[in-house]
Amino acid sequence: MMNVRLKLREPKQFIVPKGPSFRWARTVCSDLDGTNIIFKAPRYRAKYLDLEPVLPERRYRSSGSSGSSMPFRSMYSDEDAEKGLKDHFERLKFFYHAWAFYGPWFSGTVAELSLSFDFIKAVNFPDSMSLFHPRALEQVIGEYLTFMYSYHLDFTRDYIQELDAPVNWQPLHHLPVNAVRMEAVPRDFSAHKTKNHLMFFPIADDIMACLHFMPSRILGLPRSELDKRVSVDPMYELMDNIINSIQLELSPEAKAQQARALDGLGNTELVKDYPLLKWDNATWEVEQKYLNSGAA
Amino acid sequence: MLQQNHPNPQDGQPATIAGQHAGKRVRCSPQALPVFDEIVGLANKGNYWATFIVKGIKGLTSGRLHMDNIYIQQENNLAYGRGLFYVVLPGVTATLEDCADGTYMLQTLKADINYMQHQKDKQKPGVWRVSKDERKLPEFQESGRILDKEYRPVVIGDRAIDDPQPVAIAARKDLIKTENTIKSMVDHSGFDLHHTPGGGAIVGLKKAKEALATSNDKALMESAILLANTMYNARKVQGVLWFSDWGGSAVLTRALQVLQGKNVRLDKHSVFLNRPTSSSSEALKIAKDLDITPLGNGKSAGLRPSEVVGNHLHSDVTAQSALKTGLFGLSTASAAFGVLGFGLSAAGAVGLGGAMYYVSTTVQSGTKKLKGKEYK
Repeated sequence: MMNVRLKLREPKQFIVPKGPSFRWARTVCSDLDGTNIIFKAPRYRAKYLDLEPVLPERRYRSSGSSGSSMPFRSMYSDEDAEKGLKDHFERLKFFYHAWAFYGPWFSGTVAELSLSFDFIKAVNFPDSMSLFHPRALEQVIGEYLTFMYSYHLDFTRDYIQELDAPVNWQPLHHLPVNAVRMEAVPRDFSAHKTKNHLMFFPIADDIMACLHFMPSRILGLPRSELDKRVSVDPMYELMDNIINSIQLELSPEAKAQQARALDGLGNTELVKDYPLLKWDNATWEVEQKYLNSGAA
Repeated sequence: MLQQNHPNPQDGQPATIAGQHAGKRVRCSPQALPVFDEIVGLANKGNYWATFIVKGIKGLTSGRLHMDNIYIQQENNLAYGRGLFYVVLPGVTATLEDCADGTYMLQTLKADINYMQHQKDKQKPGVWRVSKDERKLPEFQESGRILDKEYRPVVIGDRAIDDPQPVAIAARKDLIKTENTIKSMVDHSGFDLHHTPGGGAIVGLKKAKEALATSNDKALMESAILLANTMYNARKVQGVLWFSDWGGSAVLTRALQVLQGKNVRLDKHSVFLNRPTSSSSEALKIAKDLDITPLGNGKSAGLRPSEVVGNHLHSDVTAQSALKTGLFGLSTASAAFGVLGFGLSAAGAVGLGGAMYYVSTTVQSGTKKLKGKEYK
C-alpha cells in the first residue's frame, strides 16, 4: 500500500507501519576469541536515528596478532563520578543499525527501530565472579540498569525516578547460556517516551552481550496517544525476529568458564521475576500521587 | 535571601515589595500578593525560574524607561505615561499601574508556577545535557546553564516534537561532522543541547512560514531569551562553540540580538551555523560585535536540494525587519536579559537591574491591544 519513504500527506487514521522484510535480512557473523555469534538483521535504512552504522569485524582477538584487537572503551566519565555512579563497565561497539518504518499511502516515516548491539565488559568486580553464574548475571544487569537510568530523578516531582526497570523480565532459552530480555520504561510524565528494550547474555566470565532496541514513533506524544496513532507491532516483530535469529557457539575456553561457574549449582536458571529497581527515596504514597494524576 | 511580604496591618494598605530604601517604590495589591509570595517562596527554595521573576519585578525600582519588556495598553495610555502597563517575563504576565504618587502598584500577577516542570517535560524550551554515550538519555538542566568546561559545544537545535534523545542523535551527527577536534570532544564528554519544542520535524522540508523567523513568533522568542541567558551565564567559560542546526539559526540570531549592545563579550567563543534557515550574515555580523569568532567560515550551507530551495534567502531575522515587523518587533530586537546569582550593590542595582529583564512573548491574552514601548 505504497509504504515508501516519501511523505506527501499527514496520516489521519491508525497506522500499521511497514518495515524492512526479515526474509531479506543479511547474516552477520563474528568470532570473538573463538566464540561464534551469528544473527540476522535487515540492511541499514535509517531516517532519523541515522548514526553511523556499525558492522562487526570478522574476527576479534584479545591477544595475539591475527584479527582485530577488542577495543573496549570505558563508559565512565567525570559526570558519572559526580552523580555517584560506579565505574563498572567498558564497551565494545559491535553493531548499530536503524530501520525506518513507513506508513501507507505516502505518509512517510512514522516509526523507527534502532538496535545497538554491544559487548559490555564488567570491570571492578571481584575476580572470582563469572557472568555465567546466574546470580552474578542478575547482579551485573542490575548494576548496568542503575548505571544507565538511576540518575533520572524528576526534581519537579519530589525527585521520583523517571524510569522503571526491569519491566517484563523474561529469561530466554534458545541460547546455550542464560539469556534474558526486559524493558526500561519511562513513566508517563517523562519527556522520554520510547521504551528501551534490552537483552543480555554472557559470552565470557567478564563479558556480556547487550542488545539495546529503541522502537521510536517519532512524535513526542504520550504513549497512550501514540498507541492510537501508530502500531508498534511491526517493530516488535522485527525485534523478536532478530533476537530469535541469534546463534551462539562458545569457544572451548568459554565453555570451561561456564562449566566452572555452574559447577555444583542446583538451580542454573535465572530468576523468573526480577523486582523493579528503586533508585529514588520517594514513599509509595508520593509516587502514587504523580503516577495516578496522569501527565500532571 | 529574598523576603516574602505580608499585607500591612493597616487595612487596605498595599505592601511594599521593592524600593523601600531607594529608587521607585513598588507596591503590591492584596489580590496579587499571595501569588507573588508563592513565587518568592519558590525562589527561596532555589527555583531558578522563580528567582528570575522576582528579580525582574524588583528591578522596577530603577524605573521602566530603560526596559524593553513593557507593554502599554493603548486605551489606558494616559498622559505622561501614567496608567496601566504590563511586564512580560517567561511564564508570567504582570499588570502594574504607574500611580500619580510615583509608585508602581502590582495589580495582578498571572504566573505559570509550573514553568520549570513544563521545561522538564519538554513542553517549553530548555537546556539538555547530552552524554558522550548516545544510548544514555539526555538530562534537562534546571539551572539553564551549560557544563562549565572549556571548548564546550552547545547545539541550538531546530524546533522538534520528538523525544529529546532522537533530537540529540540528529544534533550529534551534524556536530561531529564539523571538525575532528569537536568529534573527539563529543566522544569524550558529550555536549549541551538547547532544545525548542514545537511542531515540525528536525529534518526535511519545512513550511516557509514556520522557518521564517518573524519576531512575534512566540516559541522562538521565548527560546531565544532563554538561550541569551544561557549564553550570558557561559561568558566566562572558555571557547564555547555555539552550533546552530537548521532552524536553530533563527533562535541563535535572535539570542545574539538580545545580547547585542549590552556590553557583553563572549571572548574566545565561536559560532557555527549548520544549514541555516535564516540569514546567516546577520548572525555572523552580531557575533563579531560580541567578539565571537566564526568556526571555519561560520556556516555550512549544504547543497542538498531541500536546502537550496530552503528559506535562507527570504528570512527576516534582521534588526531592520525586526523593527518593522509586528507588535513586538522593537522590544524583542533589543531585549535585555537576566543576570542571576549576583549580589547587587545599591549602585550596581540600577545598572544591572536594567539589564535584568527577559522579554518574552508569553503574553497570552490581549495581544492585539498591546504595542511595543514607544518612549525610551
